[in-house]
Amino acid sequence: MDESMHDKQPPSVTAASPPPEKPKGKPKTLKCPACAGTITVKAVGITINAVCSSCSSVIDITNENYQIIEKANQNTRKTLLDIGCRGRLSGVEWEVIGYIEKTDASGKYNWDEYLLYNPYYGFRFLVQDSGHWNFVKVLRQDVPGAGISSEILFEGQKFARFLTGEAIVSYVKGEFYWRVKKGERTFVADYIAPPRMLSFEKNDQEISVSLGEYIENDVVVDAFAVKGKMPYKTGVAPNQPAPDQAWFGKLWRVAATAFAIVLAVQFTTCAIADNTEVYHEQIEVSPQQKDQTITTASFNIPKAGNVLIQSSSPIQNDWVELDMSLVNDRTNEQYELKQAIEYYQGHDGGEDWTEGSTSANTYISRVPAGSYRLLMDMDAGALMRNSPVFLSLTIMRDVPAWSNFWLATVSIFIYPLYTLLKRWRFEKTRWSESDFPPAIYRILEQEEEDAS
Amino acid sequence: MKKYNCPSCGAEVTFQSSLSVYAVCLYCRSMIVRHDVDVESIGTMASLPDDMSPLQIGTEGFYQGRSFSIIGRMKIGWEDGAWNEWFLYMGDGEKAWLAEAQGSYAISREIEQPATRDTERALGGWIAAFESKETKGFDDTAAGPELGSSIMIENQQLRVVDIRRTICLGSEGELPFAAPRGRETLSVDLSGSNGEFCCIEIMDGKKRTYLGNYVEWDEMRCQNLRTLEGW
Repeated sequence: MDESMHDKQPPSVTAASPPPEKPKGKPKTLKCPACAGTITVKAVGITINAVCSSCSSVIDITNENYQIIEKANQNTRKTLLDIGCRGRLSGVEWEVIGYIEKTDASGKYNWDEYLLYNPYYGFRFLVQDSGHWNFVKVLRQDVPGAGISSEILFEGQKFARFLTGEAIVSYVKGEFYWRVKKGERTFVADYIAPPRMLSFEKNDQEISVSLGEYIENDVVVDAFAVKGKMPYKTGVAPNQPAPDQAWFGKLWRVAATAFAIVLAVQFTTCAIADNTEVYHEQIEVSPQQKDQTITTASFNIPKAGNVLIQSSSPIQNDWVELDMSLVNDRTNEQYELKQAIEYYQGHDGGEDWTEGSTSANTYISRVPAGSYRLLMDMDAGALMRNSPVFLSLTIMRDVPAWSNFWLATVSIFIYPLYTLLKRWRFEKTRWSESDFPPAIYRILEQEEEDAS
Repeated sequence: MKKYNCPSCGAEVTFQSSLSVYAVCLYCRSMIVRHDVDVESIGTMASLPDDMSPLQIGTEGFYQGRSFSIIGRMKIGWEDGAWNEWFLYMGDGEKAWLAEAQGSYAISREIEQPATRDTERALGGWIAAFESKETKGFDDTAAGPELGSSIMIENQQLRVVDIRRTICLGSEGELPFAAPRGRETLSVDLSGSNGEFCCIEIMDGKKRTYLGNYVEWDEMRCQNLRTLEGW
């Protein structure tokens, strides 16, 4: 043929005449050597194995001999995305040209891999596993440590090893740029950094590393105008981003900022508070005064604010109870409160112990300015035993209080802590499917198993 | 640019690059080799196998900020398929290659002193094994660095990802060497962790080393592309 072309010279070619038209790129059709049906090849020049859509035989199209690799006589299986359908992902139009079903070593667990093609951008895979989807690109660059290390540093991101195992090809249709074979086994190792995943695959001939990105079901439905029912989503996919992943960090930053403000307010309040003593007295209560009300002298509270009543008694293994009432001399407005002082100590099994305290503090908030007295009825162990009680009474005003501070702190962190717990549960579900769960998820799981 | 007349059909044959020594006549597919003053035909090239490549002779693009235009192509076959090696005429007058395989692209330039002495010695194993031609397939374990091993090329740690015997399935346009059908080489591909691409080509006891990078389609900003039906 070469020679005949050589002889057949164009009769009158001049430098000015345009060169012959270059053939445009187009899909190629060939006759199936098994059933004589028509096979259309899309990735012409790249595809080396094609599955006949009529009889499902696998044909080697590396050269024009079209050898049958695997003869079959059955209709092709229907799949959610059909061969030939197109969809836009990452701004590029892709055509589904191949489909592979894979199973794990047990054969019980299977997933779908769709081969996507675009003549400009090459190939991608769309993988469906337990209702979760991944858009995958085979990497050309070397990824050191893939398949061996427990962690891979890739593009500045740490990928943690998640699973290792075997993948077995259980069904194929369409066309492929490599030799496909039912039953072919591949060693697989997956590493995750949600929403991304690095997958390492190795068989006898080849080692490849691919980068997958988790995509939502809606994206697949919209892109390929999926009419059929999407597989039901179960569990948490290895590289599924946590539902709150986008704002989890932000939430904690906001909480930290709010806490810093509360802290600053608290310190400022402490610094500017008057914190002054308005009354102090050392009282000795004799057993005869047991049922009498003790009344203090009048004292002045110059400005409205909180009031702290502190009482202490040097008791040991004893108790004092005080029914108190802060009374405004002019309006007779009363603030009632109870205080209990209990203090016990002892020696047990070679150890000293104490319980309770020799003092009691009570805050009264927003007491108006004015002249006040404190009335108290005392009951005490000592009085019952006919012994006197020594009481030191101190009344302070405008004392910096911490209760609001703690309340604010709890309110600030309650929701972030709740999301942290939710996040932790999500991560635990994710890692429950892993061969290499981090210690934090592994240990707690162990405890749960032990408990049940 | 230099112009000659095809010794076979008389049509005009142009050599855009002074580095090109071989061209296939656009009209009669004569394979023309350029000597000092004249050109010689060494036979006829059969038509190249079909493909869906968006590239063609005349396509222009960019690589690392410099423009290139495609002036030639070799179609390379191996046991499991075929790929295109596009010959690039760079804006700076230099030559480069754009390898288009399985929908990925890598641009590389030939380098002179690629390896340390140790690496050279190791590569010698490949040369010897390829020369012996005793086995049809290539037994990589008996020869040079094996698949998956790392070697240093121009101070870069690169991993051997492919070792294969290749055969030229055809060529078109102009090339820096004669590439008739059946030209056999041993081709070793290496890749680095930052997307470096290296190809060592062994033929006639000699090796040529090409070093460059994998490139994304959008990066090349190609123009004057081939028409693809349905796309």
